[in-house]
Amino acid sequence: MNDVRGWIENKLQEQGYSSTRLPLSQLEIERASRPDARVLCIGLKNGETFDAENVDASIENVSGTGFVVVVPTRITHAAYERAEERGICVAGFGELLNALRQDENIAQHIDSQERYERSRLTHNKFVKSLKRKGHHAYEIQRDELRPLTIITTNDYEFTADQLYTLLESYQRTEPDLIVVTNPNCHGFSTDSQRATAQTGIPLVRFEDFLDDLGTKWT
Amino acid sequence: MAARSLPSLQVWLFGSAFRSEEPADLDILLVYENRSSVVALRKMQPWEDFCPPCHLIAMTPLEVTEYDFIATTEAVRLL
Repeated sequence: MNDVRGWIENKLQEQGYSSTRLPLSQLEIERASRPDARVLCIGLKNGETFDAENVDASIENVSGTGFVVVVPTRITHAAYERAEERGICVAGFGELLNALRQDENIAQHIDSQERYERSRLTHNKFVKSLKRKGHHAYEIQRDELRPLTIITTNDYEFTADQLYTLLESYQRTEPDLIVVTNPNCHGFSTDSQRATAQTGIPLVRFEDFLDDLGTKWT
Repeated sequence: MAARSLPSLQVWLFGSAFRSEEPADLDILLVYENRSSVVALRKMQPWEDFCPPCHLIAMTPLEVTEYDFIATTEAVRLL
């Protein structure tokens, strides 16, 4: 996208936000009841992705970067992981709107799925710590048991295609489990169970995962 | 249009497209026998970047039956 900042300005205006251009592709966005929010606007060309080194470059090249909005949202899992390590938020335009509505400091924004998953995981007595490993993936350190790497999805109807799509997306991750965190998911299709059996990666519902964290997957 | 080149795919529309003149997104169900058709369709366009974005969910015929998906969502077949 050639003028991503202009595109974001227009989209923000449609949502009732005024913004001011700052140097280095930044926008300062006015908010009525919260501090103004500064974002760095990144537009990707066809075939480009926003990767971990782009997170580092954004921070190093643009002082004070706290939120990078990437259009279109081709953000790698490594970039999400690096963003957490560096204490900033990297997201698409939709999540920018959520951050503007919800967060005093938009650099600390996390999406609703991650917020729910983090809340449930960190309140589990067997979880010592969490580290983000992708858009929705975590390394979980457990008391007295080996760490687990999980990929999560909030699909209501989990399908075999969804399993393969997740695994293709997370090629650099070696998950111990796939966890379906949608509380309305009550079971899995025959074909998705068959597919998980073929991959050897267990597929579990979030409630079952939380119940078994202290005893299983040793 | 892209799905016309993949005749083995069934394409169904469901969700907010039926309830709103300006839906936030378009929910598309793909029913497939061979997953390579789904992979090919996904590669044809950046569906999620459309305005409104297209969310594709792909199911085997057995999954459609087990989840009772078409009846539950009142999906309408496009192709």
